[in-house]
Amino acid sequence: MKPSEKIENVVKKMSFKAGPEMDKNLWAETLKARNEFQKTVLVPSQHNIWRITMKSPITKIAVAAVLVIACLTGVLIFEKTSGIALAEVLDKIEQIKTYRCRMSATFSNKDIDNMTVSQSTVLMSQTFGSKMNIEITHPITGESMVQEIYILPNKGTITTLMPNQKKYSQVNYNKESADASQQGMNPQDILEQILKCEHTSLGCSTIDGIECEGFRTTDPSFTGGALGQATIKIWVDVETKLPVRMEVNKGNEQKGLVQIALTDFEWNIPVDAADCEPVIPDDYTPGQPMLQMLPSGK
Amino acid sequence: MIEDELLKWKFKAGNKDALQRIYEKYRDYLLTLAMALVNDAGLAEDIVQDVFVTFAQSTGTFKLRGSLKSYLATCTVNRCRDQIRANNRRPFSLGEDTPMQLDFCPPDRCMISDEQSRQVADAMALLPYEQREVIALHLNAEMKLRHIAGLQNVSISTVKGRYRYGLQKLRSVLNGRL
Repeated sequence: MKPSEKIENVVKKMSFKAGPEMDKNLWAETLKARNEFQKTVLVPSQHNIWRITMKSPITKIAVAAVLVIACLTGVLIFEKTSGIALAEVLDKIEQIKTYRCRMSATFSNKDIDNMTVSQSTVLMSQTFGSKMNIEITHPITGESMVQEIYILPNKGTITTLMPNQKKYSQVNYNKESADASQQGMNPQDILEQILKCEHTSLGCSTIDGIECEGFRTTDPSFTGGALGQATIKIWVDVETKLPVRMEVNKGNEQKGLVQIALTDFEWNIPVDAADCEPVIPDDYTPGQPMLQMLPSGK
Repeated sequence: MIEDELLKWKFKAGNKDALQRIYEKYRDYLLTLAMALVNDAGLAEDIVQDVFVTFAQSTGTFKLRGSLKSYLATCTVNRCRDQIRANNRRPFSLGEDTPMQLDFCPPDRCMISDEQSRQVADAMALLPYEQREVIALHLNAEMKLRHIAGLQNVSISTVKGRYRYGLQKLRSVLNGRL
């Protein structure tokens, strides 16, 4: 090592830390200044807070991923398939008429440990449609926002209720317009790509107390490029042959890892039309939803 | 860093926890930088306190596109300059009989440091302030020389010269001590 490098290292290692009393005083003065100043500062409005929410790249990634996975889940459950390695599982899934599951999106990096960005409950009915409750936690203020999204294929409507703002949105859609705007992202395309993917077995493991076999793919064509390079894992109950947990991991610990997990599956649960039918309260007014599941046909 | 970006937004929204996290994250970093520049425990504490108090009062109006770490380091450097100018303080000489001020502090109020850090701070105090600032900002605050040139309003070659001469002098002072 050169002498100058040695000196540089010695200077870099120089360290002074506050003792307990100094620390106490420093923080007390800082907090006092903050509290005195806060009295004269207006709190940002709720409107601004939500504008910040969707400016957050973390939230955007999580929301985008949640929507893709929601779509993907529907594909896995209801579309006819002809896979090979997962054929037995897909056979079972083809018999499923309804299901409910939870979906969560978390973000981690070397500084942040598993920050939950969004949580959802999904109810799917092959007959009546779907309902999704999404709660997005503001990554900065910790406040949460809820949206209820109802998709009724029979009526061709998407209804979004926004309880926080007492607003709602209702749009019509048709398959043609959705297909045109989601070229490569519609369920059929995604399904074809899934079936083209190479996937490997992860062997057996116990997930949530259930003995499962895992499958994994890292094929970027899995989501039609919507998620880019990602790792997808599916854990299947070895007895029921139905999924127990599905995960999508995107990114890495260094730059940031987004993990979407679908858990708590309930299969073939009783669902009636009212469960998927939106009820718009009288005091709700029309508004623009923060999330839009599919483009409007208009 | 993503955490700092979140902290900036959160702090701007008035979140107390964000302020506390920023304080805890950068407190010792700023104390070390201040000690490298003024070599006086009491003065360094005042400077860091002033930085955090002013920072805490910027809630709501705070706007920063760049690095939070560099911003706080720059605030510290500016206050060090102000203090040195205002008080006309001179760095302690490195005599064997010159105790550092922190030795007179009650133990629970002292900064915590090792012997080598004290010797390096003493040695840096012998450098001309401009050279000391370049070395402290580059090695302790991890700023690029180009950024330092902007702070000192001089050319990058001047900063490189200050850095080189400063290191040479440090080496001669510390030679045999460490």
